[in-house]
Amino acid sequence: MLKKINLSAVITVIVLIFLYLPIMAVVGLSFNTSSNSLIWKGFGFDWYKNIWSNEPIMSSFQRTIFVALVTTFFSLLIGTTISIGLNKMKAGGFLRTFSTAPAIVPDLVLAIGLLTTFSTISMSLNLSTVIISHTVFCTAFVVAIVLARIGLMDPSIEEASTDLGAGALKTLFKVTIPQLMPALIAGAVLSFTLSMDEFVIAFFTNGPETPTLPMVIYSMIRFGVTPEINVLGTLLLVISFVGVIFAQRIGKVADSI
Amino acid sequence: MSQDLLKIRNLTKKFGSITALNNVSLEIKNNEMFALLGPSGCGKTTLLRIIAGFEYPDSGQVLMNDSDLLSIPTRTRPVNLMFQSYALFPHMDVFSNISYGLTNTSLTKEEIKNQTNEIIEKIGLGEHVKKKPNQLSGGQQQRVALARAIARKPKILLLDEPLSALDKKIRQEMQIELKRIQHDFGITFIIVTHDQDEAISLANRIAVFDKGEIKQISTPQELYENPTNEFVADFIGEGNILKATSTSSGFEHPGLGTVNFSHSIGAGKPVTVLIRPESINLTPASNGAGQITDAVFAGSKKNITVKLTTNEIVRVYADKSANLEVGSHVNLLFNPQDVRVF
Repeated sequence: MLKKINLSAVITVIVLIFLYLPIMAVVGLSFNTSSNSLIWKGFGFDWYKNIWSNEPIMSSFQRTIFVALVTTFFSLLIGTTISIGLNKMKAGGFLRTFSTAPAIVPDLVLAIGLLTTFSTISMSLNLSTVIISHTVFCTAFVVAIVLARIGLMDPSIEEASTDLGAGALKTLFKVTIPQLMPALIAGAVLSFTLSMDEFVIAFFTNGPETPTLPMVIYSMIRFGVTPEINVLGTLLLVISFVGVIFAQRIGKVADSI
Repeated sequence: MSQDLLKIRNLTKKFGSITALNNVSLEIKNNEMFALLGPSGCGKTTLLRIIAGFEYPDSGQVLMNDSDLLSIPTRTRPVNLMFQSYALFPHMDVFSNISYGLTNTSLTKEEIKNQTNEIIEKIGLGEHVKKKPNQLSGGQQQRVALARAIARKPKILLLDEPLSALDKKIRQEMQIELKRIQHDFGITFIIVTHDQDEAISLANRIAVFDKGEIKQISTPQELYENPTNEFVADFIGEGNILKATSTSSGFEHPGLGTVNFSHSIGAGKPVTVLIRPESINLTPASNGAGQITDAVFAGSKKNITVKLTTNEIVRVYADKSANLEVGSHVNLLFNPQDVRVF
């Protein structure tokens, strides 16, 4: 008996393969014990062990995590403040668009703009300029996420807090922010992962002494894809995945309270 | 000290070109259940928000016990509001919601705990203390909102459409409950509603609003029986409103003929006549003033629709056993005392 072939199922499978095969290749080849990443020699964790003793990679990895954490902190702080302010404004459609625009502006344009700004005010390029630059576009993402959530909030809940005698700060910390929690967590995870693997803007705004991980990978790749790159790719993938899953879990828990 | 707890004097509030309140004055007595009734956009919610402290009037005064209420900040006004949406804090449990207002006072933790538990017991929420608002039914949520709003022992509790979100059975339960709580706690209630049934069943006195102005302030019965203008006549209860011309001894209507009773309007003026459906008796007559177009059985009575020769529609409540068939011609009889003319 011949089974009827479901065309849409076939297309779905092809698309999924197209999307995930390159990623699977990176993950698979990271376990290759050969020093040439294109020749399969055997399965092992050799390169994972090697990478811990690779000083340039490890220090750039630390820098990247540092940049991502600081960026996340400032993006959340600035983004949430902007969102709460925008929500209080009756009008402000123009401002809303402007606050989220850096998320859509091409990286290259943003990178050139930032570099020009830094050199105009003669700021020396180092990790702090990378953090400022990353904060610029991550803030835009935070604003987009938090504004969407704030719009769903019943405005009378904040009024109820005032009516019951709470001051503005207590209302903010006891009523508004707890309700925004799912959006704040989503914004934090997004900022962290976006900053962590960001290359173009970091390439333009970073100084030569403090390369971040994506920059180090880029410089390595000019001599061909080495097994370390596959390992690094896999590690970045795992961090991003864990972050996203964590955010979804926490988001659900926060949503249900 | 006068008996009036709240005095509102010549309050006017405009939003751009829209006048939400136009020179509104009224007094609310201590321990009263007072309703502000009117269609949406009539200004009643604006008045509520001014009393609560979320809006400020352009001109006029609000006095509580003869001292200025508007100069007291929203946070410390002896007034609390039960929101239409309840506005419970979704991330806090029932206990924390109710005690929230008390945490903003100088009370100790122990006192807050005791007072909160006392209210929880009085409102009957004992078994739900640890639950979050989304685990409660609509009726229970409303009880929490009510408990939270009276926890600070306000002099006035404002209730914004308190029954509108509840289904019919819980509405009736809650009506009784609101009256009980008002009595037990001795708080003056001001209810804002667009629903005349809600106002009539809850309030001692009602102010009927239209387009930012008070049309009449009176008891529910008085509003029904003696409306002073067409708006109140139309808004409260069911009524037949007909256009007629006054005569020196009554009025003349092209469909109903001449009706005699004393009034002070003067002869030959266009008037509005109100006749309640229960005031009319129908008698079959082949050349009657109207024809029955619809007769619906409604339990204790029959709802009859009569079309007059002028094509105006008159609604009549008839006895359920009345032998009135659709299509038959009838005369309309009523006691001139039951007629109101404006």
